[in-house]
Amino acid sequence: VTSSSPRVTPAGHELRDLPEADPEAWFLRSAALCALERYTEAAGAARAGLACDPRHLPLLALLAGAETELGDLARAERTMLWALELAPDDACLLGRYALLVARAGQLDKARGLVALAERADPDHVEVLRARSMLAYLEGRDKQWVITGGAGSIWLGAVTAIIALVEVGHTAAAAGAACAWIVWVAYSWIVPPLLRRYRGDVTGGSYCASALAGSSGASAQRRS
Amino acid sequence: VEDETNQLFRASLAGYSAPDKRPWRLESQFWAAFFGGPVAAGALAWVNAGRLRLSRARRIAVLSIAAASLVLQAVGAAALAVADTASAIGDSDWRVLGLTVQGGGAVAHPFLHRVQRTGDRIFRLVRSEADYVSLWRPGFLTVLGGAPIGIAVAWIAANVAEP
Repeated sequence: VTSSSPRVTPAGHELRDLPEADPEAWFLRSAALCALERYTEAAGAARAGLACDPRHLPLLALLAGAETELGDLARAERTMLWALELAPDDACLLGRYALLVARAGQLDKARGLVALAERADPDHVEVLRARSMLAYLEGRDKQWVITGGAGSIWLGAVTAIIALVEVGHTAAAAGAACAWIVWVAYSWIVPPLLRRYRGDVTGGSYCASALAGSSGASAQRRS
Repeated sequence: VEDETNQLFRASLAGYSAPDKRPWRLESQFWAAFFGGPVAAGALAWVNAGRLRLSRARRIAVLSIAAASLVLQAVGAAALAVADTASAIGDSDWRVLGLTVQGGGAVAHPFLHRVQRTGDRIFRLVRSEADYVSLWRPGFLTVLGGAPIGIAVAWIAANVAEP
């Protein structure tokens, strides 16, 4: 997308012609590169934009997101703290910082940041995302299947089949055993195949998901 | 309150580096627990706790759960020996001892799963499903090492209860 970039996408043709001195243009470039999962270039574009305007919150948020995706959590934290120094009550930034420290296993700090973010704006989408993610990480969800793991289901099925045999319903036990084997085979074979041919659909990048919130930060900054 | 807020805005990731070794899937550990008993389950969970960088308290919890399951398994083996279950069901004593090992592992697994869960979910937040490492070889080796220990403990308990 940038003039030094070796790869130019169709969307990049339009972005390439945006003014070099406009941080909003760099924001668009960086956001596009993030969406393409080209995080090194996205971080470069965000830094170029910040050279024009070091206090541009959406660019700082985008840069922190790209650095997080690149695995450089320490640098992402520095960027995030700089953004928070400019806007300490920004619920969007606080929520994202909570998710950043949660990635490093610092759940106590993440909880404190989510509480701060809730005080600033309890209904902000990034706050809701951080709060639900934190609850999930801490195991405060009510999905007993996940809580007990596959072992619980396995034990339940085996116990039911043995119980059917013991009470004399051999045919029903055989049917249940066959259904169980089919289900186990399905659960082993289908998910890896889906991951292989359709890509991992369970995740979703930190940077890309952060883009929606960037517009909120941008609007807040403009107001 | 201001101090707490300032603490939250203090950098805390400066020395952070990603874990060197990738963990095993928690669900896969069930098979090693079932066939290898509490010793195998505890050993795998202990190593995995290190890979997930769990706190010292959680690692101690892993050891405690494995030890408690082993004790439970020994008590179960003693009770089955006193009740002469092998004769009642027409099976060998060794088969009954093996069942207590499997039961001990199956009982230990949900608790070990729970202790590792938060660390595992953090790993899933950062990495993808494909980033787990295979448990086939270490699981097989742990079963080979853990099951005989479990059977030996059950045998001793059964002989102490019913000489």
